[in-house]
Amino acid sequence: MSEKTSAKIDGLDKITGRAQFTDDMTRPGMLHGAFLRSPHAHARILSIDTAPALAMEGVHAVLLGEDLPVNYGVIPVAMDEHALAIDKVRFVGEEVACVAAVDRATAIRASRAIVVEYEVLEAVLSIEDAMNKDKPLLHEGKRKASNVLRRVRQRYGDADAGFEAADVILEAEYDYPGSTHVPLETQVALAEVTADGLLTLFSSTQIPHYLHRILGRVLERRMQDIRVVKPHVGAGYGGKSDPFANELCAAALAIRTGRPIKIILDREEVFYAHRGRHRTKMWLKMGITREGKITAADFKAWAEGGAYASYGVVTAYYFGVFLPLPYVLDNWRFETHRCYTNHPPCGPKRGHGAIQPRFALEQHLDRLALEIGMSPAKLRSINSVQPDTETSNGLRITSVALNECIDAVVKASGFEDKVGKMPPNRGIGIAASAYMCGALHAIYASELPQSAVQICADRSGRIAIFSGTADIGQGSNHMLAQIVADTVGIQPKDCRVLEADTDFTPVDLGSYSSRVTFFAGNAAVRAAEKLKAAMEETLCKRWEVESVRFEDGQVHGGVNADGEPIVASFAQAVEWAEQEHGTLGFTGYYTPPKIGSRFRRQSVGPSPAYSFTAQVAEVEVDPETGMVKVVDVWCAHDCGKALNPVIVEGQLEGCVYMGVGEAILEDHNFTGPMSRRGPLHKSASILEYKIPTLHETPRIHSILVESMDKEGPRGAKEAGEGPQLPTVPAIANAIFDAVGVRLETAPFTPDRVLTAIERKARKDAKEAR
Amino acid sequence: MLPLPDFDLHRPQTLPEALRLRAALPKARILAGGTDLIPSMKQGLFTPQDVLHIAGLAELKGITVNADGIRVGALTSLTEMRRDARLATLVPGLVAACKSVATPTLQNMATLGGNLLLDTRCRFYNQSQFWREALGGANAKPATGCLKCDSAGICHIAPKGKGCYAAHSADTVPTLILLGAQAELASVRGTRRLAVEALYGEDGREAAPDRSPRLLIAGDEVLVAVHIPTPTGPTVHRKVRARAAIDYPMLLVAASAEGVVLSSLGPRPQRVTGIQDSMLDADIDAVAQAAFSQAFPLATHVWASTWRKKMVRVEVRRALAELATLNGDPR
Repeated sequence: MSEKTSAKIDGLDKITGRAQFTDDMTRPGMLHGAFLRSPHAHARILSIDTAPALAMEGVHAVLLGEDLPVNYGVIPVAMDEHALAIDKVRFVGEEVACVAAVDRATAIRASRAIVVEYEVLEAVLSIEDAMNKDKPLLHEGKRKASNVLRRVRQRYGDADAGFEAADVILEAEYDYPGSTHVPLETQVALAEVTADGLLTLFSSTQIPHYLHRILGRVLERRMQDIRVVKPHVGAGYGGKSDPFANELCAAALAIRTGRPIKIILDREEVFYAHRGRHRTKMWLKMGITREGKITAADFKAWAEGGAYASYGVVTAYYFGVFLPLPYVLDNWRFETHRCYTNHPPCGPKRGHGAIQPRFALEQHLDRLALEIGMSPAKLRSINSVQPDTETSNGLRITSVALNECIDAVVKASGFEDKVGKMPPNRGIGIAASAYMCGALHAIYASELPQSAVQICADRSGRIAIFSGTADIGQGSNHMLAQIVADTVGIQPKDCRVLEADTDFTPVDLGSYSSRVTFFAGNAAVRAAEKLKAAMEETLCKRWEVESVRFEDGQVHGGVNADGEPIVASFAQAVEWAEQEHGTLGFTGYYTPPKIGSRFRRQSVGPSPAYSFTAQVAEVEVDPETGMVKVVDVWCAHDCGKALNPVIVEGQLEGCVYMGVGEAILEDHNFTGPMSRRGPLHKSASILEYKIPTLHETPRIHSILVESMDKEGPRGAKEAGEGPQLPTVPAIANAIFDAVGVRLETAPFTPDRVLTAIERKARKDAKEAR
Repeated sequence: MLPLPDFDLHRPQTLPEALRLRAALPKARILAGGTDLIPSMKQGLFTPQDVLHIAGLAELKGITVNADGIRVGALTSLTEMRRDARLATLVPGLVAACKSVATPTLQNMATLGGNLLLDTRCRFYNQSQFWREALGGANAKPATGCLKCDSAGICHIAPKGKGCYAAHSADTVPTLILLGAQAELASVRGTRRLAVEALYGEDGREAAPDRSPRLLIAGDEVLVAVHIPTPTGPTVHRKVRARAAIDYPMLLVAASAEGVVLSSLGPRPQRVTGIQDSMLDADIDAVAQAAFSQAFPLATHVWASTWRKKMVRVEVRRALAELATLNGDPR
């Protein structure tokens, strides 16, 4: 195995502007689409008059909800969406009509010419509204008349007995804000139908396969007559894990007009497409012994989910299922809710379903550590799950290096010498976490392969790799190339990756839930090992040796009778193998192991492996302004095995960066009753939606910890999401260390921090009197 | 991406030609660096028939320094200003203000003239056409669009107020006011000079019944240059914003021996009044308290106006402390 970090195979193309993204593509006669969107949060559509738009020069077609009446949704149990609104609109910005015209300006002008008559309905704007049975329903005609999409209740062990055994019990409420992904590239789709009736959709998506299925369903078209291709994608972070209206409408309009059509979302429209982090209210009660053993937990969460389900059912499960990890907890229970509200739909964002409970629990642990007078680092270490065990809720734990991670950040940051002892307004905090490496159970129930890779080597010496994975910038193409290249001792650049083209690449479920390295990586290992075995067989026979070694683009067979090295170039070796075996094509696939659980209901959450992270954050708080400066973050992550350390470090840095944004700046929120038509997005632009600049980004110290997972590809686990989990609570704990205020609501904006500091000063003064 | 609306582009090559066009096309918009105008046109805040692109006017470019003081042409980019060694020595506070505008790439395009004449800003105004219509445009009954966009609308910041309270957001202006800078304005009728401080009216709109409009310059006038008398002492510039780059100000404070100016609290900058004549021996807390009691930030920004008001006291105190240090005062 080569331990060297190789340059990302598509890196140069991207930084020199050569890489083709969907919006770079054009077609002769291509039309452009634009949406008419709802100005109302909740309204019934009484009539739509498209005639003024259709009468405009350059307008080719107008699509309405009734043209695409088949419902869909990424999760089969909650298919509550339509490409365009039918009968009702449920948030400001929801797509009502889609115009195809000769250029985008004409399409936008025509969309404005459409006349829609609405009957405005009372809107459901908060968790309290959603839980209130007297409020109107967003989705009528469901089995249960409720704005709660899903409630999940589970209990393990005996929580009450656990609390009895506790020396200290603490209860608190926490409120985590909504946030959105802000990928550099907005959603964009280009559809065309060729003369043979094949519909091709190019799209900036994380889920080519699900999109393929849903196009078939909504368009009522055979899947073999649809091809989905994902060109280069400018990031997703979970925001492109659903099928979107621009994809479905582009496809439908290409069919209707017979012309290629592109529909790109402008930045504001991405805030309406959203699918970001759920604003979540939480209540947590935990018990602990004087020795620091967590004895019990009781957790409740209410997530405000916006107008449609997206992955919301999964969110409700993850909130509870991942609550204890990375710690041992035998007696606990939870009750979580995912609600509908008249806001843009929430969905999965980096660290989906785990960020919010970590925010609560990791702050809670710090408070408990203080109560029992124990180092918060030690408290986490002594409660860590152990390798090759099963959690109380039936998760199979394999490799674990949490304590190595904790030790690494504690040492690197000087945590124990600093905590509680820093100069005024300076503080340090710690937090830890675990995250999944892909879901054991696919979104649609099946026992089919969840990832597959085909490889083909020929006498030129290059290897072609075909994979349905979706590289969205995280480097999964490079991961595949590197695994295959390392297996047979060549350079990744001598592997060509063709990915995410449903006509030519084997099915992969997509880039979400941190599954790609573990699942597709394992598929690549299996395919590459078959190639290697075939070549070994040929070479051993030819050279009459017991074994051969693949290294530096050559195959070595030791020395001959004269003491001369036996060696051939890789290309030569392939040629010999091709002579013996015929064309060298091999497949590998990955289906997660069938891991039995004591709990039949536990179908959402289990993963073949879990990554572990520990983080220490150091902050400086300006006590007069409330401004928080995150100075340093030390992040140690158990990624199993860093296949390419530079790419893994990039993921760690990206996670911390995003966490810092959620901690101190980002708030995906809406204007209150001030606007007559209900909730408008407060900051639907990247000027007003504040993501950190370089100035707000701390020094990030990445530490890679390798636990060599037995089932991971070459030992690897995920690194793209888990490292974000501890960032926000670590910063919260550091702020407490700096100025003694406990921030139960994020983000830690200056106003909020200053108010807390002032409140504490008043309280301190009162106590002093 | 948002398409630009159609318009006729005029590209005068000399100042007299530009002034003739300006007089002939009173509703035209002037395009210099475009960093404010172009996004606003994309959002449909302005849909001018004519745009005067004045970037070719040599008369409006460059920095000259002589015994009378400093002249900065209105088309001088903020990058040129912050790289000018003479300005760095003479008016470091102004250079700091230029550096604090948006980002280096925007500073390359943005001009000093554009910064002086920057439109007032508000969270209910600087929005796309869709957003503003959803807020309630002229078609809603009763009309509830933003007053600055729609004379039939209401001010969403102060629904019972008399006008538009959109915030003055020009980073360079408070410092220029304290430096005693004058704007050189030209028209076919001639040239005049107006104190920068006197450029701005009480309302956030371009035209307001019963209130002075946001700019007190005539419709045929073009800003040619800014004249700054040779400064006698340092000026301090402080800017409160969410992030240390990109963002528009939520509060601006400038301080010099001459006094203290606040901005971004309303449609025009304001001098803190009722304080000593010179800030050199000022009671810092008293000045900060005076500033605090005279500041009435409204909800023009997403971040809380109560917090912005608290920041007035903090930032004035810090500005004066900084000023004292620059003046060698050990306080």
